Amino acid sequence: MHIDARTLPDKTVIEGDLCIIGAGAAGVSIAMDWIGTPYKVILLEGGGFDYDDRVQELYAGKTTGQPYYPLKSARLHYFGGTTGHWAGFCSTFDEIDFEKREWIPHSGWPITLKDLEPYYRKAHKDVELGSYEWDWKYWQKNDPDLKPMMKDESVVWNKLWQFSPPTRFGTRYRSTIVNAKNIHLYTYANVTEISTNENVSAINEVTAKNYTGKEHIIKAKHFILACSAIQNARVLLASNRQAHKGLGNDNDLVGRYFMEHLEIKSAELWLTKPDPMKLYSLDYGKTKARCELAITKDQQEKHKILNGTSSLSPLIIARSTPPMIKIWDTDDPKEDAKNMVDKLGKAGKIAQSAKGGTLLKSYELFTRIEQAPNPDSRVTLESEKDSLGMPRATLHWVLTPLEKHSIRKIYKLIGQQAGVAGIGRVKLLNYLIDENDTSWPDFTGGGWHHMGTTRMSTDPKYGVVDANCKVHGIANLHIAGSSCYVTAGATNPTLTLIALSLRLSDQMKTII
Amino acid sequence: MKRRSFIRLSVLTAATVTIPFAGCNTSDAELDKKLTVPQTLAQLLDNKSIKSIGKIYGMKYPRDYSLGTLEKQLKENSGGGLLSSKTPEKYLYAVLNKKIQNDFETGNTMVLNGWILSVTEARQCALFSLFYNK
Repeated sequence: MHIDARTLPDKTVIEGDLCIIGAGAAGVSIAMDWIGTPYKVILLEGGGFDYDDRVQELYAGKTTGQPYYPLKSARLHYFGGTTGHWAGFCSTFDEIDFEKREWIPHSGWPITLKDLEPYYRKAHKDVELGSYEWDWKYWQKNDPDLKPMMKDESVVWNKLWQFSPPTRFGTRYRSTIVNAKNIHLYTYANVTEISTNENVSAINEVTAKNYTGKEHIIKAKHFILACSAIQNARVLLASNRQAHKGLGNDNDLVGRYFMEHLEIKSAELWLTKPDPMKLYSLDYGKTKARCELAITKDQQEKHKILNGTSSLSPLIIARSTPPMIKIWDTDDPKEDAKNMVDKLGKAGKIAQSAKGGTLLKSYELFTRIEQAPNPDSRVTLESEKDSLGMPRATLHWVLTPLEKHSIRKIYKLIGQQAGVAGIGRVKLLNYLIDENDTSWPDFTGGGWHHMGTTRMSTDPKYGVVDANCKVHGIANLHIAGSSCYVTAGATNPTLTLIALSLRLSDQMKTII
Repeated sequence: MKRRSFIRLSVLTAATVTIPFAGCNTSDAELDKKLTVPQTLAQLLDNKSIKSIGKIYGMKYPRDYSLGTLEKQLKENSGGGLLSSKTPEKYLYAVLNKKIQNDFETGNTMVLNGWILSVTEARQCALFSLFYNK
């Protein structure tokens, strides 16, 4: 069932069993998991079914610290959320991502990879991936040309990625949600405040507004906040009528530990013989699975580094592609996306005119790496308010020397293994050469992956939510999505955040 | 292309360039000439780049940066005194390649001008930069 909240009488009171705030990948996945249950599920979406700049504008905010994309264009604010333009890159976290690593302050989840395993399988279906097979050897059986680069996988291993079509949740699941009798989707219902009982131990209701000036009240037994990492923190911090510091923020953790994946050009691989490197290549829209080079758990422990992977692109293409931080620089996500596609298209044309040998003899090595959890990297509220009267968010993104040390070490290991394999040599980019240089070049970017602002811990002193994603101290408020991440892993967050949300969904069924 | 031009230059300059023997009269010029060819790198880089890497090695390790010392180091663990100007090229390069392989396997590597190199091939670059010093 779908209701446009703009058409409701002002101050309508909506009641249900479960209220999901946010209809992106997390919220829609959870809602679908409740279809056919005897419960009335209210799904609130701030925007409509299509892009609306008046709604998108609500995401605008300042950024300080490490240069970042404009906040207004860094997420999408309509039904389906940022899956409206995501690229569909999927992979699972590694075991080590959940572990307490002594060399990474604030690492260690209260759950393990095994806890997520059954939910990864379900998430796999939501994003329409192929076989639940994460070992490259499975894919090699169907394509013998998928050959590994290194001699063995004891230092550098081949981490598999699969590619969603990509599933646009907004279009793919619109009718599923709208036609579900027990799912009540309200569009143009922006939650601006969460209200609790007197002693802040339970949520009574939430307030949803839209640009018509209407304001509605939603009451439910349980609430799940699923608005993305920046917005989740913003809503909690702005809900400060009863809790002065904001909800779930008794220990000043909400909004802290903001994490991104650093995505940055890092090195070049020069081969002695041309090689298409098919196991590592990506023909977007056609490739079902490919690998990135990853560092084994043993080596991460030995060298005290973060988890990161390296992808390969023909150097001639990569050198013609400007860094994303330079392309994605306006407040309009549609313009930014078009600009990105145009630039990639031009690089592709250059590649087409290149001779095969040139194209296949040298590759750019591009890093995607977790950043160390850092309390100084954070989302806060600013005094300026948006058109619905909600304080805007400010992002202060901060990196540490560990990230750079880790990237440098990753490529030394890859370079060493390339030498062992006798395939060629690796050259670090200039910014990685000086071991004492902790600065970042101007092409340092992120993956538009926002994580960590309501981190998970069994101890309220160290986490906003518990191991089941329930906000500490508040009986009926849960949080879904990557804001609950303790560490970021080396992989894009979508598959994992859906798995984590489906795990939460299962937990909710036992308590509602 | 690059490899061919590299080898051509190696041969030609060996015949025409005055080798800086002063202060390194223990080196064997004929052997040095052969040792200056980092075979894998020579397939990837031109002479100028290899010389540049060699000079950076010299700046990092000035005490080792002489023909005699580099020759000695390259001969170490390579069958020792068996390597000489009379050693067949095929055998000499097989020995050096094995050393390079072993360097990578044991982590005996260094970063010069961004390149992650085996210490052996880094020394070859250094020797090259000294040998063709003009």
